[in-house]
Amino acid sequence: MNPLAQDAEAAKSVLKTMWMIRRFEEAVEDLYGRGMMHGTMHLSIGQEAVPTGACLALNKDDYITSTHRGHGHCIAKGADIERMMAELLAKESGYCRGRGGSMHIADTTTGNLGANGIVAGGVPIATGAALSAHMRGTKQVAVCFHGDGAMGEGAWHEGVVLAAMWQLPVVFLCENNHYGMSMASEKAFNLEKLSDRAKGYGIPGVTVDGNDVQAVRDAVQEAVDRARSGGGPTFIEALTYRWRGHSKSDKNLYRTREEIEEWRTHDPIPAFEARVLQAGTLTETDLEEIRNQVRDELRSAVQRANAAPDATADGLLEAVYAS
Amino acid sequence: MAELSLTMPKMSMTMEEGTMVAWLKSVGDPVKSGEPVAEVATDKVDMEVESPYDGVLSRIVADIDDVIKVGEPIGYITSDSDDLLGGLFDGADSGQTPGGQAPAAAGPGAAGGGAVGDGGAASTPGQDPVGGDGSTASSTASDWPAAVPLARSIASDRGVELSSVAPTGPGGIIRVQDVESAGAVPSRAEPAASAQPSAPSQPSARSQQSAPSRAPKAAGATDPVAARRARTRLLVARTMTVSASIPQFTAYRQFDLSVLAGVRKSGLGGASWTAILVKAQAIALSRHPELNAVWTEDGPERMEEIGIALAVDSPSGLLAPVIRNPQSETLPNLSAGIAQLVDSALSGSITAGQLSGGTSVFSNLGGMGVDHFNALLTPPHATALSAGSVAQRVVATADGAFGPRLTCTVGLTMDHRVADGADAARYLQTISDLVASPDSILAV
Amino acid sequence: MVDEVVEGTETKVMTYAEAIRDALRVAIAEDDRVFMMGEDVGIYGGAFGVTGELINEVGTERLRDTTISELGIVGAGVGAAITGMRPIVELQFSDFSAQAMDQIANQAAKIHFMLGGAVNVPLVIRAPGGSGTGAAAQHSQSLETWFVHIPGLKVVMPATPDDAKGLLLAALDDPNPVVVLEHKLLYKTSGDVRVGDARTPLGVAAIRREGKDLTIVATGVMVSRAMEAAEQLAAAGVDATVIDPRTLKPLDSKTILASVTATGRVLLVQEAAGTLGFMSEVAAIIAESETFAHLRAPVRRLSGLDIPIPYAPKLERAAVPQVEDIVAAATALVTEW
Repeated sequence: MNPLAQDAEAAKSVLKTMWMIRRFEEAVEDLYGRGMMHGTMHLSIGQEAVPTGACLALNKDDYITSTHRGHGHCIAKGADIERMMAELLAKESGYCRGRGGSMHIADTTTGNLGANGIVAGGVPIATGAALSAHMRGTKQVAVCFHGDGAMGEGAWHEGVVLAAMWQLPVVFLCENNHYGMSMASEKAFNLEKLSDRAKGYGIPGVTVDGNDVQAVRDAVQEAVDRARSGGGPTFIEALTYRWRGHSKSDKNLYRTREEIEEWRTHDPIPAFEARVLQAGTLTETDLEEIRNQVRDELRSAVQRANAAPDATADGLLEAVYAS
Repeated sequence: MAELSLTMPKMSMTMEEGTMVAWLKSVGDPVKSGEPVAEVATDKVDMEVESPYDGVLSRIVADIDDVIKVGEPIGYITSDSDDLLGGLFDGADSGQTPGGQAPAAAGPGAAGGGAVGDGGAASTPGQDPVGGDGSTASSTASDWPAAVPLARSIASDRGVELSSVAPTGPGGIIRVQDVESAGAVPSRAEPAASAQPSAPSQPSARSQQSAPSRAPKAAGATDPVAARRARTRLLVARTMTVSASIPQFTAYRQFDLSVLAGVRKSGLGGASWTAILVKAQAIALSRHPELNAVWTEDGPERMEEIGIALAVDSPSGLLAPVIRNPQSETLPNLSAGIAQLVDSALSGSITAGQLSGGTSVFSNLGGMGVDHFNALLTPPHATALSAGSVAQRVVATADGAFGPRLTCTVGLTMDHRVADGADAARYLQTISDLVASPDSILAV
Repeated sequence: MVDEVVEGTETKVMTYAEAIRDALRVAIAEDDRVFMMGEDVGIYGGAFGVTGELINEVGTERLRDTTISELGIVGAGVGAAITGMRPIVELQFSDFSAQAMDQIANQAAKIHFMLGGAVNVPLVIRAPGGSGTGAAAQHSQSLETWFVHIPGLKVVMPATPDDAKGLLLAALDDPNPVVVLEHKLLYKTSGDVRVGDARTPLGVAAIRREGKDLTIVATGVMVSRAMEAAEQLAAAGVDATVIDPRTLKPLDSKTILASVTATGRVLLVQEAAGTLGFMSEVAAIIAESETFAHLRAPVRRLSGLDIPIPYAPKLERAAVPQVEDIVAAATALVTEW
């Protein structure tokens, strides 16, 4: 495994994905602020290295399950940002034709089984996808993204128990962004590291720096290789931080501005850019070009998504059941 | 270096507009991305507006108390940051203007609901139309005799008057066999008329749902005074709805102001009747401290300070700026203070602080020709005083003579949980004494 | 359609439990994607003996014993269903669906709609319900209303051995989540069951008996009680139609409305507690339809009492409709009106 920062193509791809997640969510925030998006949404700004690193270790047909804070997972797994944006803008051309919104984007063509509005809702589903891959003998692996908050849910326990019993090809990837809404994970869980819990389920567990895209990729790669070769599930805790509030009505009363400021100095994107420059893999001009390319792609996606027709109520009743 | 707009952010699912509460930065101040620059009040809570960029606050376009729609600019920041979506929604080329979008955002719920109903009626048996109120027609038994549905249809088909059929069913309800044995009756009654009440009335859920279309809010949206007036209207409505749940009564008493009228002309430089009555009200409250109270779950709670909220009919609706402790103010000062407060209220420059601290209300409709009225309590106040017109009226005096006197009828409304009728009477007696011998009103 | 087992079709007498096992055997043999998982369904043979020795025929891959994790196994069923399998999940008692409700109501039922139709959830959840075994309040409920109320789920309640097999096979064909509510008292009842690959289509009611005086609509174990009551009523000169909806959602309301239009009287019988029970919906459908104008009598429901199912046999019996209750209610409807 070459370090990502020393491989020009890999470095470009990593930066493009991380910037796209960041800019996508900034655009979403802006559109929400303009009153052009309704409902609510949950931003993962500051956490981009986790989905980016994790999806680098996956094949296109490998599965992921995602969360309510799932834009990054979708983008990293290869979703079309115009269709994502269209969904958030309540357009007929959106991934869910305006029926799901921010919390329910799925893209089966890239193995994305869907974001989930229920905390830990995706955990047993990932176990089931892995069971399915095992029974069909496809060698596919499922990565279950979930937050630290999910580890208080019964569904997490039941999903991991079944996966461990059947030694299924699934990786439980906890994005520990330090807060389940307002509940600090260190207050919630009497553990030094959340990965200490893996031992209780009889599976390997590891904690990595979730703002280091290389560390995330390496840990997930090892877990995916193990799963694919029949070695069963792994639990990974990726330590990161959510810069924004839980959702748009968060007043940040449970943490200090200083803490947020401190974490903002550990921004995963400039950190990786610095490494790439240091390694001499890309120049500042290259980096600028990537940023501009992402911005232009995003602007164009927003413009096209916004110009699309609104989702219609025609056929809503027929949409409840598959035929 | 570009000037980027700082917009009123949408901070909750239901937020459509926000009221400016404070600017935390001044024009020219540097701001950092994520740093709070202003405070706004939303329908839920007060929130901080964070700067989306690193830069300098270059312009402020929203003043305190302005109500700004979500997405509209409140200020501008000059910044090196790129405006990610800048210009995308400004021109016609964007397909849709932001102006067209924002109101539409409120719509989907309603529109979707209607459409679901349409489909439901067409296909599924699971439809659930709401509010079929047709059967509640409270007609008398004679023109709508109780009958099972099939008996009613048969009667209608055969032209049988149900009122002429003898019921044998449980509860005196006409059964099918009752109509059948009644046989055919020549249909002298026009079938249409008799059929009408018997047709299973189906006031469709649709007609109910779509009935009263809301008056457009457009006026409030464009004119800030009208918008403020609309908000005030809602506030008054909420407050008075709460008031309606308080057991309250009003006691009236006519005061003879002849003595005061003499002094007022000679020594007070024409202090307003409002100032005089407000001072009398406050002195009376200080002598009946049990009435300067608010009702809590544990019973009445006395308030230290006295604050008289003066009802003012302002361009932005009913405002009630508070006069603090008028009992210890000289009448000229009080009169001037009240005039100033009223001016502020009329010009819209009243502050939130000037609207708080009231323990009772003074409302005067006398100037508008009203003789007497009862003011409703403004929770949590325990009392409210209403004054009618000050005018010459013919009054009978103690010695049996009668003649013109300058009088005013005052109503005292009281929270019956806090005090009783006799308490109200004693309080009014105190005011009556004060205006009859106005030394303490005139004192410093 | 009084008798859905068409003349000439090969049948075999089986119990309701054996008929379900036969369906599992057929489905697992004909479709590689089908498997079943649940608590004690393997070597134990199922809490009510439904799987019996099936494990010896199909093996532990296709018949999977799970931990006691209702939420986990329904969730795993959802995950397998959206990735190309045709899972069946057995909940040992329908009461335990409360443990699994997030995956049933928030995931399985909504995924297809929520994702704009991109994904189907062909999941079958089997669960026995009902009282009569002395298992008391937490193992005896009739919870069909919970599931019928959630858009996205289909719900069936087989009342005969043939339907137990036929509806399960049809549920497996369906691209949507289907909740199959079996009844514990029915597992040991016997009847003719079509041999081999025999489906009972979803959404088609069965007219178990035809009569002109009133229509009795009954579900689950109440179907056989209604049939017994109808025999007694016939002896007394009252001629009843008995309709078994079989599928509660989507409901074959046409068959019910046509019968009620003809008879003018309807008795709705369910084991579940009456308040907002499934039969309240049937009553509402009748009230909203043109059939209303054909009613000779008020619509009557006969339901379980609004109480948790008690333990003592006499109390348990008193809690839900019995044959004599159906006879009495039907007689009153016909004689009073």
